[in-house]
Amino acid sequence: MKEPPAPAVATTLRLESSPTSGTNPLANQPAAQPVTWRGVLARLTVCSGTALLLYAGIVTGLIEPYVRDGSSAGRVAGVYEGYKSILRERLDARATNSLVLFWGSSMVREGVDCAQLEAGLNSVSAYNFAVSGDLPCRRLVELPRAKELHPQRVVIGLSYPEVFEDRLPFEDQIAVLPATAYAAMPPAAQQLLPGKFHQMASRPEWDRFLWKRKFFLPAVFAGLGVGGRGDQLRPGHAIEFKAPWVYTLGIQAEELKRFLALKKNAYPPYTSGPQGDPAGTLAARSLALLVRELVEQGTEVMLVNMPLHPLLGAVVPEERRAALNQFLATLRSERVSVLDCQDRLPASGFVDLVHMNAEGRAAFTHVMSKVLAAPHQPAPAKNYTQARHAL
Amino acid sequence: MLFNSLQYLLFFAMAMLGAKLLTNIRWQHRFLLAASIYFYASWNALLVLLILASAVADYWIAIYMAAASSPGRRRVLLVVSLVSNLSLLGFFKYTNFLLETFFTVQQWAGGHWLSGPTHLNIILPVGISFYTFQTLSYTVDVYRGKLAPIRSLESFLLFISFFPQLVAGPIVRATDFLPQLQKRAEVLPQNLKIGFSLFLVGLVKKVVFADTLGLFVEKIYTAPAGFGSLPIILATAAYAVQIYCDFSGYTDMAIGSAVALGFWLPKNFNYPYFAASITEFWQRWHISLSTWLRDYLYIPMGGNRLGPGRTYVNLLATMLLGGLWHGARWTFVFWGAYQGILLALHRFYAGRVDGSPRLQWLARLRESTAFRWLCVAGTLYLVLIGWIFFRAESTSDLGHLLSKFIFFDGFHRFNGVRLREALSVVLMIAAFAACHIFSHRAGGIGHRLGAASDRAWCVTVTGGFLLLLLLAPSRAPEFIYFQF
Repeated sequence: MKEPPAPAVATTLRLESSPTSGTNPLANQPAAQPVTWRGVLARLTVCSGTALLLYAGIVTGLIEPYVRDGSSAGRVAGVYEGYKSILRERLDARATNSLVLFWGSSMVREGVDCAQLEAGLNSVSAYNFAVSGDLPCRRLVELPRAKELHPQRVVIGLSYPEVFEDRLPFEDQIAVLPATAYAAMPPAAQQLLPGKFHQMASRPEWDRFLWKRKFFLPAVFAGLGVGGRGDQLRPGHAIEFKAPWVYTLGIQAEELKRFLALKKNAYPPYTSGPQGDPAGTLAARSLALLVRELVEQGTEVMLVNMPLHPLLGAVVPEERRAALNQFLATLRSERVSVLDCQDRLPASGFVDLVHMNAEGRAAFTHVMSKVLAAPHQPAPAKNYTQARHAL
Repeated sequence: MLFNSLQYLLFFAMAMLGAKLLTNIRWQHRFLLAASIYFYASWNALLVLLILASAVADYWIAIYMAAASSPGRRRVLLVVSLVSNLSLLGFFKYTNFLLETFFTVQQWAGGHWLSGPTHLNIILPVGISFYTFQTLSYTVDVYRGKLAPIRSLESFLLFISFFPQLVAGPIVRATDFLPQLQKRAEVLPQNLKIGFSLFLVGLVKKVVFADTLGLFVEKIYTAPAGFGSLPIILATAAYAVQIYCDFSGYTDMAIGSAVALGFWLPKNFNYPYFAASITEFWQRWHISLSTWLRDYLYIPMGGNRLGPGRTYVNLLATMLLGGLWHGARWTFVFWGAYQGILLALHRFYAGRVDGSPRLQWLARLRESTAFRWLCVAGTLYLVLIGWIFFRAESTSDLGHLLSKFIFFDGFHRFNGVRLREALSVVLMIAAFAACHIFSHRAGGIGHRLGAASDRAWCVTVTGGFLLLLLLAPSRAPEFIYFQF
């Protein structure tokens, strides 16, 4: 810090009308054309209009294709449309076999191979509708479409986030679907979801148009082929409902150990979090509502506590696991079964702490096919006229 | 009402229209005063009274001070002004800090001297640190005889509450602003062009750089314990860009708004990351605060007139208080102490080099360009460490952040950050560096833009709009310095 005289920094900006200015610093610049109010305002209008047009071009040519095919949000839209396309296919084929849907996050997306499942079971059509980073409250929007399909079983793969999280789904996952999708949710779901969710869900088209800017940089990177693990999605992943995804790039156990050590074995919400008791969290209440709505229309529900990497399983406190199981037990009923697979797979079945590799997926799918082969309640009668009308 | 909101643009258009149409100087100033009050009231209507009360008190104190016959009476009036202003600032800003500190100390000591709430529900009035310093400098200047007290209460209130600089500076001196109120502000199309150019540059800095990088910084700094060196270094570099773009962006928008209304405000930043020493950094960073601290704190404490030892103490004390000015948190106190120690060390080093014939080779080396760039890099490294103190959310996070920043723990594939996310941050920082260097060489993008040809202006403004449309995050956080 220096004493006066003041630093040799020009600390003032003088301008035309400044009463204390002796000179205009812009006077040395090349003489500009005379400026008028009309001229300035007209140019501002033209500039903003041109920018808006350029933006619209970038959205149409670059961002929308990326959102549809290259982003996780694209799969939310793909799954939402998937119910309709599967219903159409089944109606056209007059299919009468059992229909099983798998819901959940990327743990399920990468953990269930429906083609393998169908091969191991007689007369079953299975679809993997899992979405990365999914929470039960986001899935509520799919209830009307899921009900139209009349699945015999819905298997909800879950772990600690699906029960202990009290947050809203990611903005992308909400805003990628049209406002009409949310308007069709059952009244109980409408009431359950907080105002902020509705605010994002009912966003007008103009807002959605501007919101798409958030995909600009990812779209550029995807166009350039730049990305690492977790960035690159396989083409067509959004509408692949048999075996959507599996990582091939595993992380060494040493790296996983280092990661957990850095976090002092605290990996919320698996090991800890603000919510010690799941009762009352948005995720848990949404899960209960999903189960209730499905059961009411005669669908069997299976809640599966998904496998965790043994390193992560070892640091989940017993109380935490007991609280999860206790909550799931409250949902158990004649049509709702609960399966705890948390310790079912060895470390060789994972690419990281929670996601399975091809070996893990095959093993877990085998477990699921054995469980699903067990006898279950008769399917509700199909009303084809009603279903076709829904289309 | 944030500068980066449509609400502000509408408000500003109305303010400009009103100022343009009112030909009478008094009515124009009254109108701008009313607009400024409305601007502040959009946050909290009740707290407008606080600014007005503080300003009215200092207005009368200054008048009585000028009329006082004895130095003793003038000193009493100065003390009244200092106590009233600092009490307000202390109450609103530091009560909870003091309470929490007291009860923590009591707990450590195992005593039960006092009991009561450790936290009071006190609203921090936006901009209180800025307008308090502004009124204080006015009464001190009148006391020192540098300034005659202003007779028009309206003009004085407008000086204190002028909306472009009300909530986050620059801290305007009465000697700079009051003379501008002696004649009617002319709202001219050429000033709108210049002002808009400055405003747009500030808006791009705030929205495109600060807000975008802020999301990544928040992710890492909210729970740093789970992150290694690489994400922490990246987040700290991103924070350096964020805080500069956030604050200097606000200043650019404030100056741009003022220019369009026919006023000028002092410059607050002069490319601080090009500073080759920490002393130079403080001549380039938040200039209105650093010069305020110099003129009203450091020099009255004795400055460098009382020997080297006392100079170091004065530097440390000034920066400690400067740190505390930023916020009532120990991390700010540590940041201030860190800056004070660096300033003292640099003063010691500079004194040794300049004063010793044996070190003349070093003095000559300092003149070379390569050495200067080395010093710029070194200063930047020290400044980045300073930003860790500034941004850390708690003292418990500080240890982890500093150790991971200083002692690199290697490259790891699994560090909780996606490659595209990290690349976006790197790209933003690189783009900022390129713009910063270009602006430095061009003598300021905003100024150049204001004087550019129509075609160049239109292309640049369209580009600026497009950048805003493409890169603005979906939520618009407040300016960082609003909390101070």
